[in-house]
Amino acid sequence: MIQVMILATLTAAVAQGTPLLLTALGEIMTQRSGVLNLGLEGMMLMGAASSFMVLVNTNSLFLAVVAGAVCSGLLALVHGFLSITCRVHQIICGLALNMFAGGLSGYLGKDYNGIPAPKVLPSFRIPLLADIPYVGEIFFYQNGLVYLSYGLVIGLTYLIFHTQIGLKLRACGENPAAAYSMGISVNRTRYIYVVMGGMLAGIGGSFLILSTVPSWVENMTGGRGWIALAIVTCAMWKPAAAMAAAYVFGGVEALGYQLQAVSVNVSPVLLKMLPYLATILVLAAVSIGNQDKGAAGPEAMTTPFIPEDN
Amino acid sequence: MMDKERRGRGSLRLIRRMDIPGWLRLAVPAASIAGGFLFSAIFLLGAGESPLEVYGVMLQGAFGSSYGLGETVVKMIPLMLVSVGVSFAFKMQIWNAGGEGQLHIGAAAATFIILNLKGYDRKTTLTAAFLAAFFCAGLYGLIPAVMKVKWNVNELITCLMLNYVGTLLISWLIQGPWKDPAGFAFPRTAKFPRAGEMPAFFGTRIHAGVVMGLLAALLLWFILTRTRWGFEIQLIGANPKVAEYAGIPVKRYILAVMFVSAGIAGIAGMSEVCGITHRLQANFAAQVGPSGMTIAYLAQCHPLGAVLVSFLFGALLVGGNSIQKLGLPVSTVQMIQGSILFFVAAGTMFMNYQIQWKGGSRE
Repeated sequence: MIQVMILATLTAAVAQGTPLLLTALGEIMTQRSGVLNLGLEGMMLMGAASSFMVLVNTNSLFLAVVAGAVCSGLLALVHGFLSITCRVHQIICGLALNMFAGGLSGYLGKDYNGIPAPKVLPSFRIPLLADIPYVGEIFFYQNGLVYLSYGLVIGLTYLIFHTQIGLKLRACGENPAAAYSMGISVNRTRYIYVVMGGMLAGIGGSFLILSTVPSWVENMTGGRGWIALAIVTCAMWKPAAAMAAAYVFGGVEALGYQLQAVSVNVSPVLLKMLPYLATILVLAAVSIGNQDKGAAGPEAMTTPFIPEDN
Repeated sequence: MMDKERRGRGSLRLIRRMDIPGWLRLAVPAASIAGGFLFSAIFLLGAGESPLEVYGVMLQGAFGSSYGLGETVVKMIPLMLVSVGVSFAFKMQIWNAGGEGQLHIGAAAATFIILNLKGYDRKTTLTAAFLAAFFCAGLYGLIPAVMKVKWNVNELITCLMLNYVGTLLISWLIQGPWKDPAGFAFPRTAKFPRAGEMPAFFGTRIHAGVVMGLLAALLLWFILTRTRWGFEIQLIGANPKVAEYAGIPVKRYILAVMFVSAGIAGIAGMSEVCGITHRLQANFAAQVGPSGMTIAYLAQCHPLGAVLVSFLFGALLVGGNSIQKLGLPVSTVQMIQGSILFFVAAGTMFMNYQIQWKGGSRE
């Protein structure tokens, strides 16, 4: 009985953690290129809303995910234009993006409130791997986007740390002047990663509505975008560490549901606080742990790059 | 040259202004607000609404009657308090995004005092509630400040997380321990005794919160512009490193400013429960937190400017309620606010830079 529960919680941890992971991976790329995009919550919401609208109208899961990615990619492009080309304060711009996208998703989704999703992303077994005891059940009996996230973690780790492209990306975030003198177009690179980051946040939102909470409600992300942002910092901008962190937060959320299911004598409202409190605690712990390592994060993040000055 | 940015094609050039002309400081926010409405109009049109009709209904709702005008002031009160509060922190580049949570904590503290402090007159009860709201919300705001000062934890994320914690705490209180036993299934506390109600003026719902908001704005304006504290706060905001070298105790300022900033946001909660709802209930201040931040930025963190912009945003909220009769959700207002903020952000470019078009091929 206990074993079944633990297994169910861990499986749910991966499922709940994946939207956080996808979004955090996108933001890792964005921040590594030197741009801070605080608009994750809004982009996830628009991703979820557009996915849901496309799903209801076309009944195609594939098109739904594509719609989520495209809509959030466009929003990220706006953020890119304002923060890269117009050199607008990135924190303010990100807050504006959140508010605008949150409002837009509520406005566009008004006719879809409360409709259940016609279908959800199906889970399927990966042959052989799914037969590994416990591990197979937890990691290899999930839906397609979970497998996509595994691929992304491996791919991005390789890309960022072991390729020329990754070196250029990091250079834009750490020392754009040096990158520029080596002939890298800093601002173009930043645009590319900002938009890709937005697309991943959109897919994170799609995941949420196509699997975790399959029905549209205004503000249904409930702060997950901000948790994903915290994950990026906790993971020190490393994809593999982001994966671990995302599953921890997913696990905390899953634990809340599990405790509710076995009717522990704690109010469900208080259990809902768990992920937020966990975020604060983990952030504090990571910051204390890294205190003597100096400033964390890409050196040039939030600083616009001005080619004329170099 | 390999770089597109360096190639001799015609391009926009941004040249940093040495000083910003005064007219631009007013023109840019005004144009931004107009821009935000125009930008939102595209989306309204796209969804088949007539922007003119929508904006007309909003205008009518907010200013078209003495009732509407009164409600605009009523909605302005919490916005004014929260935006004045957070702009004080913003001035120092401390991102107090926790107005929403601080407001809820302030409201809860005031409620606790009023429901438990029986048998005192109105003046004593409300003063106690006021102080409780200020101190409890201030302490709540100290959590991110201490984490920032001690361990360099990003205050923006902690503030936002504490918003969720604060609002959930209130829902727990009103569903559980503080629930009105005579309130049937409604998640809310018992009604306040008369000593806990703030009087309303002129036959409207406008209450004493408006005075508190104006006083807070005046006080902070005075501190910022007329005292050494204000001078040092502005210095920290302009460049924390330089301030540190100059011997200003930056960390102590962060703690103090966050305490005051959060405390004022807490007063917003107290004034809502004592002035409007007369009990603690769900959703008594939806969207006040994010709007407060927008207002603070739009007002360039000027406390008196924040009062002015709050009035406008109060109108936007009242107008937003009236467009529900067209079948539009309240989130439409959030969309308009977001686009205004976009334009304000973009507008700073026009303030900080002179824009020139460099055409033709240059080496």
